[in-house]
Amino acid sequence: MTTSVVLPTLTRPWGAGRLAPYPTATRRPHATVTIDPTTQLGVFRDRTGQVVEMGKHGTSSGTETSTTTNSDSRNDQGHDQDSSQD
Amino acid sequence: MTVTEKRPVLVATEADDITADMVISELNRRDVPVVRFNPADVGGDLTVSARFGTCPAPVVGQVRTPSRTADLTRVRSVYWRRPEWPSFANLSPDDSRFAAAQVRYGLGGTLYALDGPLWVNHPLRIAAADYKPVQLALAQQLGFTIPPTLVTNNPTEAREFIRMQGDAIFKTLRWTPYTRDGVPVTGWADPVTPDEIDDSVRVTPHLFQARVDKAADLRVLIVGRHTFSVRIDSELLDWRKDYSALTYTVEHLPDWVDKALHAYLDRLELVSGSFDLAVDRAGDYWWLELNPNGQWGWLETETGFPMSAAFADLLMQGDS
Repeated sequence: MTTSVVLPTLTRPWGAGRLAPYPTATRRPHATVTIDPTTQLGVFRDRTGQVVEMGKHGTSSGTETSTTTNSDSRNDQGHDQDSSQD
Repeated sequence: MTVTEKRPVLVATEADDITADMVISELNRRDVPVVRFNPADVGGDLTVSARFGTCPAPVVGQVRTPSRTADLTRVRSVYWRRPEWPSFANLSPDDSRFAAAQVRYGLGGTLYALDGPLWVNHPLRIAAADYKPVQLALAQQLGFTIPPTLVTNNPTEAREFIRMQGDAIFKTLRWTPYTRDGVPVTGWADPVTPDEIDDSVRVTPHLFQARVDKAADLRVLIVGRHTFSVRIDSELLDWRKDYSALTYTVEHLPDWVDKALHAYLDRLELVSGSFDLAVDRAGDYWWLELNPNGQWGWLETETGFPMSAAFADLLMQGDS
């Protein structure tokens, strides 16, 4: 195989074109999260400052796959494991 | 109560983390002190001070949050859940690179220097385990059947492999944040045909894999010595696409599979991990991948498995 190939350095990798949106974009009800000093649990509040009960059942499947902060894929390979600096 | 029982568990995660809340609730129930922090809060709400060479203990100092102080010599365990590292996006590129690295190597480095605590899991071990080629090779070594897989940036080989397999899928080698026209997108196990391959495969390695003719998926969460094995039935090739279409049942793994999965984590020096397996129509198991820091909160809700309690027990037990 001696065929010379001009490397398409400015070409986007083929795989990037295969990425697709998350199908279940569940809107979560809170606007802010703070940490309760006593329990160390998250306290979720809506835009008016009212505490929103997320609880254990907030981990419904829809929540886990919402597009922004809770996607399963992101957790599975999270930014904390980013090896870009190694 | 002995003094040992009052040593804190560090929980490194972002504020918006209901799954961590489930584990912290269990720790609260066990009366184990928790110090929760997010590395991204450094500078404002998070302070670290550590001294080396000043006393017999190799590392002394504290991690401080607005509500808690953790004595570094007394940390029982560290739950590395979903921490965010600061990006310093408001600084110039050079300054932000500099600042981000100082946090990783200063705060991260100080925590890595502690030889006492049990890590669930150690981030450096998670990072080492996050390479799919490494995972596939280890799975085969431990006796699992894996789907034939090709990692290549050669379009001709990719086309040929897909043709040979008949049914093949493409998987990303690594997840990265990606938005297209403002919409977040991610990799899905989707079928791929030879004619879809073009020269842009040459730009980076890509992972192609034979499609398993599966009867069901399995998600197996291991927490310490516990195994939680869930069978996920659906018509979907990638079950993450529609959680409403899934049914969950408890799966009893053959003893050798259970042992091999534990051996798998031991080899990678992990104490917890989420495995994706498939069962084919003959009832045989196919090893697909490991998520060293996988999501499991919704599975506890669906199955009633005491997963968060298992995490709390492991963290409570710590280095003892």
